Amino acid sequence: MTGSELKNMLDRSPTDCHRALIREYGRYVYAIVFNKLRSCGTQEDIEECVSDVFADVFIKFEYEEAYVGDIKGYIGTVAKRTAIDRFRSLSAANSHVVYEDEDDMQQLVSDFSVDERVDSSELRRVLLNKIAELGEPDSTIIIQKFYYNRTSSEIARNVSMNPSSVRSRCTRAVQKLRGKLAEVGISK
Amino acid sequence: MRKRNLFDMLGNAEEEPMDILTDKCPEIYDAQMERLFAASERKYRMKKREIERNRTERDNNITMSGETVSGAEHIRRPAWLAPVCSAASLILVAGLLIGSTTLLRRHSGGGGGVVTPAVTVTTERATGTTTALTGVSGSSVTTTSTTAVTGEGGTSDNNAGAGTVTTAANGTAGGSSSSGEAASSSGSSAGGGAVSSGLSVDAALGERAEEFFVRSQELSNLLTFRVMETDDSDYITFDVDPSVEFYTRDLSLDPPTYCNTHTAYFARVTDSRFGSTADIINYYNSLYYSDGWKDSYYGCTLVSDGSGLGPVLGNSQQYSVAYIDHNGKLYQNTFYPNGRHPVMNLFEDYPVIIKDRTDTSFTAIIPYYTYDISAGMGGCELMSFAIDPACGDWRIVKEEFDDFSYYEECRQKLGV
Repeated sequence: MTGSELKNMLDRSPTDCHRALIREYGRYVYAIVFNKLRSCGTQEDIEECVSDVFADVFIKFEYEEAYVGDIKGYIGTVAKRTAIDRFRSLSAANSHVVYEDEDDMQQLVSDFSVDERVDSSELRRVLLNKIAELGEPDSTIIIQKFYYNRTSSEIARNVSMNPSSVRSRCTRAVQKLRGKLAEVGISK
Repeated sequence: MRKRNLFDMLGNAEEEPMDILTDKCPEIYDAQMERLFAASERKYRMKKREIERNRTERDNNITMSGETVSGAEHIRRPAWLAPVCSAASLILVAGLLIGSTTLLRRHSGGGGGVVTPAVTVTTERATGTTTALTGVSGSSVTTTSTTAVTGEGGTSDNNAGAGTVTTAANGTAGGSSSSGEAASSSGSSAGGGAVSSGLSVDAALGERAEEFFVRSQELSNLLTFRVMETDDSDYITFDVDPSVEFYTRDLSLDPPTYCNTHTAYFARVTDSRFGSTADIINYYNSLYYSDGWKDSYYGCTLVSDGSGLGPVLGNSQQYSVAYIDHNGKLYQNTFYPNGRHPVMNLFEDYPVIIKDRTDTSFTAIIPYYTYDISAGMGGCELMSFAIDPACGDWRIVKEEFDDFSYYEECRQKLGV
């Protein structure tokens, strides 16, 4: 969506425009905010921040913004900044820790210090590559399970499978991933 | 504590990993979508209300499109500004009018204005209390202590500068029976200048001043004036350095007479209380230190300790001391001034007058007489007291002397 299209939609019906914006960029904004706040915020904090981002975008385009090009980058920037602000306030207010106590999570728990062994950016790239090598739907299951902290039922809806199949695939995918990571020297 | 998760490494990802993570992000279902939409709308409306509230007319009247700006800015002044400005203007104008009128009146009144004193008379009066004996240097012993007295006399129709007349009186001892109290004052006032208002009689303060006066005079007489009765026929002499001549009572003459000699005369003390210099020292100390009188009189900090029983003339020669012991008898130096010189006695028939009284200070005008008040041999002491912060009690801060006429003037003004 471009800025011009957004303006036109706003002129016609602000409410419809807002709804369309959330529908189109909701996942994108959610992913960015989640990425920043997953270590310190709850699901409610994340959703609160996402709604802040959209409210901010609505206001900006209604009163100030004369941006006419693709607005994805603009929204991404607003989301990133808003999430960073929220991260700071949450970090200052409490030291909330997301805790999952599922067996699957325990499989990937490791005490080793990644920072001490490889550069975090490089590790991130390697990890995502190895996940991608698992292929679909395993890579999606792994990401949604361990990164987005979704339950097997929620993942099952996303990948159109039943929860038990998701769990079994997840178990096998984790083992495969551990093997792949071990090949590149990342192990317990 | 939460254990470290390998996927934590994906947090705060850069652009490329973020694209992958966004792609794998779970779908937002309708319920969550509605939740997000409702929350966003609520916040949007709140922000919009806030913005609308803070928008000025300028925002509504000026439109910006591309490089063109059109419209007019309307500025609304605060409602309170107009009345405040009006009031300030009125005050300013009123002040100008009043000030101008006052100035015009002052200069239209025969060139007058404030009547200023034409002459300020400053009189320095010899008091004779702080006698500075300059040594056995001859006949000249100079009394140097003075009291500055300021009076104002007359008025002037114009603003001519006030003149100052200063008269200094230095009494020279030697032959005159006066102790140097003679004052030359060209003004009619005495003491503190014209008799000022603020005079009163206070029994408590007066008694305090009298007590100080009496005891200080007793001490002073004992050492400085050597007032003890003597048997002038029983005396001893010392030959003084021929180059030194001083004024003393020559007991070899009949009758004994004051003159410049090269001999020191000491007459035997007949007062039964004193048989030696030790008796005098004991007596002096009993007066000076008993009942905390020294502290009461001179305070903790204001005045230093009084002098002891030392040489009268300020040197260590035997003839210069006030008293000596000889063959078990006590002798008193006849060096001027001694007991034959008039000493000050409290004039108990008249009240002490209090002047310039404040919460922390006052001046007591204490009348005294020497030999004969009718012959004008008297005066008054102006003893100034102040509360000493270190002790919280009255202390003497200044002593001045004046003619008895000044006391009389004050007394008549008070009607006592």
